[in-house]
Amino acid sequence: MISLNYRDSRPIYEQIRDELRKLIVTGAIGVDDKLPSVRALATELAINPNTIQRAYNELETEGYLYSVPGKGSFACRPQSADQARRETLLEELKGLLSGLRCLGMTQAELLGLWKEAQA
Amino acid sequence: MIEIKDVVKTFDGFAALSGASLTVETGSVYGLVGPNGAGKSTLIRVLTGIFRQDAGTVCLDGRPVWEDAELKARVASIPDDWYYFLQANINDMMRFYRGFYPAFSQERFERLGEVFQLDRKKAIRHLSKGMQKQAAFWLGLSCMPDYLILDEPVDGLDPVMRRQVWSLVMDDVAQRGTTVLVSSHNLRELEDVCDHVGIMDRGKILLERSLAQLQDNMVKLQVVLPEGMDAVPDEIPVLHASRLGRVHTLIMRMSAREAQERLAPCHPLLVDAVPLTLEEIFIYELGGVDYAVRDIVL
Amino acid sequence: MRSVTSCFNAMLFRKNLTRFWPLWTMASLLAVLPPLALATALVRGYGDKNPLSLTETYYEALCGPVPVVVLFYAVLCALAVWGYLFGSRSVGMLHAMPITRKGLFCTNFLSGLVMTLIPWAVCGMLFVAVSLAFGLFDPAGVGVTVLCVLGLAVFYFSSATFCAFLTGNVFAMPAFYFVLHFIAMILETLLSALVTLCFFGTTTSYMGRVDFLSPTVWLVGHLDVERTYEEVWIADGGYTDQILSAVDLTRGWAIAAYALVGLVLLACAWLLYRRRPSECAGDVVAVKWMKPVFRYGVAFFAALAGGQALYALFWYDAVTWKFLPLLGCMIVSGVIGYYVASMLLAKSLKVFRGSWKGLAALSAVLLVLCLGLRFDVAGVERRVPALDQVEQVELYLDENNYALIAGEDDALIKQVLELHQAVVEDKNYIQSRQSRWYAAGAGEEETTYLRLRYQLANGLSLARTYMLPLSQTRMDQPDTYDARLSALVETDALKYLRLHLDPSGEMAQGWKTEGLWIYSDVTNFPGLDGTSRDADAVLAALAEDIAAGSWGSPSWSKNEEDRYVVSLEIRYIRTGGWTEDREEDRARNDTVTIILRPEMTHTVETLLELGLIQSTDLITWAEWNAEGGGQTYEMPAEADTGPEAEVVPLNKEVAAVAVIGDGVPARSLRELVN
Repeated sequence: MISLNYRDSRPIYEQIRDELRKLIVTGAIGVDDKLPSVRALATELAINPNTIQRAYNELETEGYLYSVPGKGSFACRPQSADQARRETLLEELKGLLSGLRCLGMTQAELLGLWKEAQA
Repeated sequence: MIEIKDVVKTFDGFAALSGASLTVETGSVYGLVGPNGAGKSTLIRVLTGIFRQDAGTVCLDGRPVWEDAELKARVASIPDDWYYFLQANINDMMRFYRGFYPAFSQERFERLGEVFQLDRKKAIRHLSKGMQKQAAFWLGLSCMPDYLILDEPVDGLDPVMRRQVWSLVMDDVAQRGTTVLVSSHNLRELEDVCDHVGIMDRGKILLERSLAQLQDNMVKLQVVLPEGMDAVPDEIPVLHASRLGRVHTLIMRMSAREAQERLAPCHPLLVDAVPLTLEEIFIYELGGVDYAVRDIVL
Repeated sequence: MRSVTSCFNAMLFRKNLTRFWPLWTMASLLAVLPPLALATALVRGYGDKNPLSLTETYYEALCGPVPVVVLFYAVLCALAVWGYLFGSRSVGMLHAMPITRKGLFCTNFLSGLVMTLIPWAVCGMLFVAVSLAFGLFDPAGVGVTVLCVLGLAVFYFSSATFCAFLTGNVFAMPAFYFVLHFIAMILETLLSALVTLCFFGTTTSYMGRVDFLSPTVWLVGHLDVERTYEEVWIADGGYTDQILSAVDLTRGWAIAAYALVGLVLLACAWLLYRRRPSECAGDVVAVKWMKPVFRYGVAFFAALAGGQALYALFWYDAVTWKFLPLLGCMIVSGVIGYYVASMLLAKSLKVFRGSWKGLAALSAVLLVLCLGLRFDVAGVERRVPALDQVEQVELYLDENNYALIAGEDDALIKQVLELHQAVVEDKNYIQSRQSRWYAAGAGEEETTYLRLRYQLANGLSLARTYMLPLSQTRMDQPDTYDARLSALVETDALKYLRLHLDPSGEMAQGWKTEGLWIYSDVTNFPGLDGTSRDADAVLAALAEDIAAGSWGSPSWSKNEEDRYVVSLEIRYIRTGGWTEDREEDRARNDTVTIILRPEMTHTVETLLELGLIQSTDLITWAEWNAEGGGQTYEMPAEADTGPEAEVVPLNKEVAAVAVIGDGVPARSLRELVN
């Protein structure tokens, strides 16, 4: 379900967080589905449970999951979560756009890309 | 909680430990990293009550370890060179451990037997070195320890078994809140499993950090500065800076967000946060220290 | 929940016994043999049917075999249970286990002691079973034996335990053990050899003064079985028989004393364990302060043993010794010992740097020792006790033994002391003559041996042996030792003493004659026994000869040619009050050799009267040689018919010999003749 790439220089908790978020956003983990327990994931990945807990905590802050005491963590996709996600992506896009502009890409060409993505 | 404070241990005038201190919170996994001869094994032997320190204190849950059998019953240690009786097989050793550790769980022993596919009736000395290590883990985990002390634990294990062993240890940590101290001469080995790391050299702990804290508090930025600006202004604290063409690589001791805010007044053309590997973090942490330890450990 | 703080861990105890089962099983199998042998002997009808004879067997075993076997077996058991101390892996494992050192110590000690005792228990139980089956059970004897074996096991196993805590090396431990048990004996031997080498008049004789420090030696030498017999009239056989009525183990208390010493050593072992660092596993010496002791001990021992051996190999000289070669040999051996010890301690061959201080100290000590020997700082050579210090003198003079007792023989003792003083003062003369004697070979010079052994009032004893060259010219000068020696031998009092006679000519207190033996140096002369009555008669005649001044001239002053070819020996035995104490043992029997000469008219007459010799036997060597010496002696026909006449080779050197054939009635010549 989650694969860790040891060549990836991102800290492990970030990798786990990002992987889980992708699964939730793409719907692979449906809303209100139970996520694997920290212990199960720690055992499966041979990763420090505190690290997993940290990834879960961040996802909970971001709003991608909620925990029910004694039952575990469950996935959700609240608006606020989308909002936050949108902001991050826009931030990334801004950076990319400025990079492309440095490389001499024109507004027309970029608009062409936008239309392409819509099609 | 493991508390080691200013421990000194000398062998015939040679100080193997010269004021080593470390603290391991209950339920955390502490990685002790250092080159060969740094004193890791000595520290572990002091911690397990084999050696008596010349000075300093070694406490588990606030109680000195030395000659405290009750306390030691809660500790399982898996040394680098595990001792077994010459003629013994795993069953014999299991009975021996069972006679010593009040919390020994036969049920867990049987369950772990399915993981470690070892012949329990074969003389241990006829098992391979890796298999002997597995046997040591098998018995150590069956003692249901509150503290697990591991000296170079996965040396000699194949990658599959290595993962298997770590997964068992992590299960124990997650399930029972076991406190783990693990030594290694390889930081990479510990990155996944530890939440705290201490770097040891020449009988001292040079630094100890929580990994989360480390990863949050150091950032590597690739920045393209506007025309006419050759360097980052001095008022911005930079641990390390290098330059390739117009791209400056900056290491800063702060979170990524704070770093970007601090750089904003310079109006950089491009700011890109690049994740730091643990090795890099430690290299910069050890920064000023001109230690060969950097080359060996990291 | 199982207690983890207790002193005893049942698991460890069981594990120790099960791990080392081959050791105690093998020992137990061997232990089955003696009771099995007894059982088969009893089944076959052999053996005494007296329960006490079995007790006697137990006690005899305790006097020798048991201590020796325990000595070796206990160290094996100690190696088994304390073996974990000698490996860094094993010591780490057991010390990391939830058990205190107290628990390890007690449990391992108990399991080792049990292991030591198992074979004895097997042996003992089988003996008891066999003796019960055959009605030979003697509870008192069994009880004493059990206690003794227990005591021995405690002592030997505890001492082995103590050694285990001195070292961290599996090979060093048995070595330390045997050194501990025998060092006193070995040191005494080495030191007395050195003293003998260096001091004029001293002799190598193992005195066993400190035997008690070598318990096995002491036990084997001093434990004894005392048997009491009772005469019983056997009605159906119509004869009396001697029945064993009591058996005792003499000095059995010593085992209890040694067991106590063992407990003290055990306490020391525990103190050492409390402070023992685990990292000393593998070290030859585990205790810090013991390291210099070991280093200098080995060096000094090597200097003593190796130095003397080297010296004897290249510079041996029976008379004198040379200072520099001996010092050199000792230093060379000591240095080798020092480095060997250092290498063992450091577990490395690189021990030379900075070792000069230790070597200098060692050399200085050896130099002081050799200087002390050279200049006789302690005054060993010149020591002649004062008259009022002497309680008794055992004297060997002119091939005879004397015992002079203060208060009875004061005049003689004074003479002996003066003689001793004269000998000491003439050391250089004696040694130069001795050297010449050794160089020229025996026979060139007249020499005689003088042995002195003083018992002093302070409880010590002083023993000296001198080989004295004699010369007629010096004998004529007063105050030379030659003259004093001659005068002493010529004293009538000494002559009476020699024959165990009072000055009045009566038998001295505490002695009686046992018999008489007439023999000749000439082959084919039959040796003839005389009864004690014959001996008494001959003694009376000898006393008359002494009074007449015709007996007792020293051997060196008379011509060999003038003596008769027949000689006689008078055998004495001590009456009553005799114990097995070592010193007196030597004097239980005595034999005096009397060389017959024509001037001893009273004696010759008596012998003729008794019919012990015939006038034809009275041939001097001069006559014998004139008749063609070396030919076969023509024996009187009557004597030849003696059925059991035999020729016994004569050894004049033996002045005191045990009498063989005790109780066999002496056969007089008359009996033989008729």
